Amino acid sequence: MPLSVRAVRHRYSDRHPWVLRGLDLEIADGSSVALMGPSGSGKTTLLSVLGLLTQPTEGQVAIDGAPVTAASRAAGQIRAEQFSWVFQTANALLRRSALENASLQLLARGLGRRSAEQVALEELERLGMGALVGRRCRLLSGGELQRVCIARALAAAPRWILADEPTGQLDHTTTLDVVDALIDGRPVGTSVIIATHDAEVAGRCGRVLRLLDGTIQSDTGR
Amino acid sequence: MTWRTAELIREGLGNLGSNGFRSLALAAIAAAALGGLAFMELRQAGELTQFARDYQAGGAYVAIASVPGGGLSGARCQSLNGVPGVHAAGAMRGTGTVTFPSAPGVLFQSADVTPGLLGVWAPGMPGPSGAGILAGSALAAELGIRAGLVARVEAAGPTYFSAVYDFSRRNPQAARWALSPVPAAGGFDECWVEFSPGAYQGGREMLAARFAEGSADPVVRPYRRSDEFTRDPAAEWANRPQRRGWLAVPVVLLALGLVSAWFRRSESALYLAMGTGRIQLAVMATAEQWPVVGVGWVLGFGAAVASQTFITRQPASDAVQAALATSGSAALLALVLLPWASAFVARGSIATLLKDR
Repeated sequence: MPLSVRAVRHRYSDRHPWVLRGLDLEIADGSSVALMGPSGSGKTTLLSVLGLLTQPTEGQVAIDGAPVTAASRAAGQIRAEQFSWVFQTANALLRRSALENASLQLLARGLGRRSAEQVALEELERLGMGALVGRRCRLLSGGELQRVCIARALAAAPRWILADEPTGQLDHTTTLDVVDALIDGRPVGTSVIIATHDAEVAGRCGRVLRLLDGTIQSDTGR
Repeated sequence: MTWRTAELIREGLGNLGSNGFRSLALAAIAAAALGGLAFMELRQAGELTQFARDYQAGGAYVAIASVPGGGLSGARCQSLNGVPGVHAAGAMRGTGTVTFPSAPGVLFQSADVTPGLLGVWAPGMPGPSGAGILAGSALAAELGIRAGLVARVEAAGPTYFSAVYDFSRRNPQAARWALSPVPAAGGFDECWVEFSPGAYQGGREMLAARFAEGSADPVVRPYRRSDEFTRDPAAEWANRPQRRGWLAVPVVLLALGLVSAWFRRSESALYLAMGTGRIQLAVMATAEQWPVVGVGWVLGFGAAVASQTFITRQPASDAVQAALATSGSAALLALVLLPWASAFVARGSIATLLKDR
């Protein structure tokens, strides 16, 4: 399978309890997956492990069957070329413009600035942000800023988009707009993995994984 | 494929330009630190250089050779001119006293001097034009004598005074003397020699050996005793407080850079999450921080030189060179160290950095 974890256990130090307790999971290309569960159930940690930001204490992450270590040079290359992130607290360069932020992932992939900004501009316009491309991100509202981050993720047409509670700080209307952009607006072949508390958001995904205390309690819609 | 180097540099410059206040504040701090270091160097080097000049001008490297009972070879003394390490050398012998009708009863000492002696007693002053008596400045002032004047000397009649010399820095006693330039033939009382600073110690030994031939037990003494000076410029310079400034200032700037990078760690985490490597992060930081440090150094150094110029009119070139070397080294080290601050702060788990935002 394209993205898989095998027997993954993780804790942040010897003094901390296990956050993930022996997970096995496979994510197919082009799928939309919701990770649900209460706070502390391991959603964010699982996303970090899947996205090669955290090396699990035990077990392994594999891409197309090949194990990958988060700290390796190859992982950096994979993060640049195959993953995009959307975070709960919109993580952006607040003093840079919306267009500059939306171009970042493409620049990290090795595109020239002109090409990257052209693609990012189209994505921002598609998300209704065309009039705000030159505005500094710190002057944008929360919903606008999250759309910039989604544009950054989508513009790169990654293989996987990992979203950690992307609507956690948005109102209901904006939440639906953001989820539509993320799930329905994603390029063909791109998988979206969303960690969320919101059942409505999860309902838009084709597959829902419920986590509790670091284990998968249910896996529906495969 | 990952970041193009040109885009990394552009990204760093973009971050630099995106927060003008932060960039200006950091440049001002760099200017203050590097300029302060340069100013301290300029002040101390300038002060020590001035002291060393005064020290040398006061005859610190002048030695006097004599032999008991007189009869020191004037020719040997005069021939020291041109020897490597010798600035000037000349001999003198006392010839008693003279009086002037215009100041009856006042005795003035007279002496014969070889031409080279004026180079020791009055360095930098032009030699006498033509034959005639040379007057010390105090004698000239008391008797109203000036160069080119003929004055009556008791027992000698009208006498032509070819020059008036100020001997106050090297032999103040001679200010009231009347000197007769004579060839270096015959015996003299003393041979005065000024050496260059590096040749002084060896030169004194050389003098003793030179006059030992044909003269019994020559005595060589310094014009100024070493204990007249309580300062040691070389030791002061070697132990100056800012001598480690080339290391201390970059360490302070690095600490500041680490604090700044810590406050911006979520930005670093964002770049890392997108696949940016830590070395690439350092390249980006290089583009962002080099202009800040560079501008800071240029402004700081320029301000230090301007301040020192305002205070001393013209800072010594060796003081400027010392300040340039020390503050330039500090700036270069800061340029090398600072870009790694972001990469250092962003070490470890990217997920943890993202959580810290």
